Amino acid sequence: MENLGENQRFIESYEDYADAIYRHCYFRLYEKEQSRDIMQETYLRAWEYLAKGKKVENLRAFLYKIANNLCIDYIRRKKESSLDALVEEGFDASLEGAREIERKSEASRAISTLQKLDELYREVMIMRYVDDLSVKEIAEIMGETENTISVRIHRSLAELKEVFVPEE
Amino acid sequence: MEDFIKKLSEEAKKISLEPRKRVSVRENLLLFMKENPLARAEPQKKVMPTFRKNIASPYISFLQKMSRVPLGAFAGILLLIVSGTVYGAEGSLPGDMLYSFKTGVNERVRSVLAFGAENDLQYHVDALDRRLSEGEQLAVAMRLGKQESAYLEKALDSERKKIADGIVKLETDGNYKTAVTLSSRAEVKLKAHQAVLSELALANTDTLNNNISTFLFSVEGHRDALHTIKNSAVEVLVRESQQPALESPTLAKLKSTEEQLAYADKKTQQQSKSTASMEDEPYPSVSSMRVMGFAVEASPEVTVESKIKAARDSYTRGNEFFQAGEYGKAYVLFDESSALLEEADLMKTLSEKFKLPIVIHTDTPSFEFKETSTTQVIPTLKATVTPKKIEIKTPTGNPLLEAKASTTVPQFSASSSSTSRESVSTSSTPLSP
Repeated sequence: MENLGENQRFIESYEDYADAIYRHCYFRLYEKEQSRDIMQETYLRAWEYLAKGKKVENLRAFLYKIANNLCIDYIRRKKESSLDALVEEGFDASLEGAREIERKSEASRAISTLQKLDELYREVMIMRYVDDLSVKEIAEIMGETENTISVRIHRSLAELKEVFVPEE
Repeated sequence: MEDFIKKLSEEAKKISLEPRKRVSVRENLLLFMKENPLARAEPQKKVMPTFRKNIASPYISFLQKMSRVPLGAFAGILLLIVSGTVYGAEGSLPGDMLYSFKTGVNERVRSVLAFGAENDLQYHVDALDRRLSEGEQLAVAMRLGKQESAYLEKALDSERKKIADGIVKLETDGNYKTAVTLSSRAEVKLKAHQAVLSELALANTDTLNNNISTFLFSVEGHRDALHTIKNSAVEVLVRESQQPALESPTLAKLKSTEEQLAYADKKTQQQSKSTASMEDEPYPSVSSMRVMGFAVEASPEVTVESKIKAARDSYTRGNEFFQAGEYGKAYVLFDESSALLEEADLMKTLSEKFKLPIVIHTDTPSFEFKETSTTQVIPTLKATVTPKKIEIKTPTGNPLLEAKASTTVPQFSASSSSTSRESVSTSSTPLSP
């Protein structure tokens, strides 16, 4: 009975957060298919963890933590393995995604502005303003203190001001 | 900017999975869940009730339980509760529930235990440090509202006045050395926190920035006020520089400064080793900070090193004066060296605590002793100042009473962040021995 309740709660979490997790990955990677795959992988890994009988206090933060790590792994792998080859072929990986978004989304300017931020800053900006996560949740996800995250958000906003103002 | 953030949030919400793909992922997930079922939860052990369930009041239940507890254990529990509250209150900030306990009980106890004028003064310097630290923590937590800022400004003002009174009392008693040392300690706290607050103000949003700036303004004002008071004690030590009675305390100061320098060197070496082994830099490099428009002049390591270097220079100069029998001047320079080292250490601690690249204004004070036309040796202080004439009146019974000094002192200028330096000159009647 209890397991059935757990299953139900997990499926409900999929209904509640799947879009948000997908959105987070999309803003990080600018690739639709990859974002969907990472979102799916996030849920599978979360379930794998729970299936071992381990407890999770904040499922939402836990899901974001997995998704965030998967995005970081993907960005790192992509940089290491294929960027050189793609650049040689005249393909700019970071711009390709942005172009796709420019064609299909009204948020193109916002996204391309975010793209100008350092990865470290973009990460917290997306979590704070796209995912609407609290500073506490971001700290939990990133394994940092709330103070660190607050400072990082302030710095992100300052950097954003720098890159944003000239375009106005 | 706010519009951008708002638009970003609004537009972001429009991005979602295509319904078909959403269903497809859901099916995959259900299949995976079926193949990997949850580990069977262990049945919970039944807990046998130890006392009747139909107790009328929870207080009776509590008292019944407590009646079985021996008196020693009860005292232990009480001690734990009290010490827990004391400990918990220590980290509280203005606006927190336990903050009034911190200021009303914890600090009151410390204040009562601080016997003597020096300890009392040291207590107020520590209290000043705590208020500044609370301001920073509130700023970092984005909780430094107008109310909190006003409260802390008032508290700072009160502590500064008590410190100023204490220093003047020490001067009245002829204890100029301690007056110089303790006013330097207060100045060090204000300078280090000023640097951190400047950095926080830069990094914050407009509203919070205003509150931090207001707070910062009061910090700078206090620093200048204390500096003026310190200068009069320095002046006396310089005038009486060759007094043999000053030899022994200056020698003690020399030794303690040497120890501080050796400790600073050891820490710097350890730091450079750990920095070399660090793989990830949690914050952008200094050069990238410059590109982003931050007024960063040096990384914390560079700044700390420059402070230590300046401290070593002061120590060397002090040593020269000491060898020449100018004990008063030597004392002032050893104190300067000691203050610089303490400042470097505090800045390092704060920059690590808040993970900030510290902005250092190039106003490191350095005393230079110049011969005047009346063959009087006076201290000259380099500082970020706008000169303003003020009158310093000295207390009755003090040799300084007869000498009403007309002094040009550093005055905080809100409109300028200039790093220009102007000398502070004093002219006063020489002291009678």
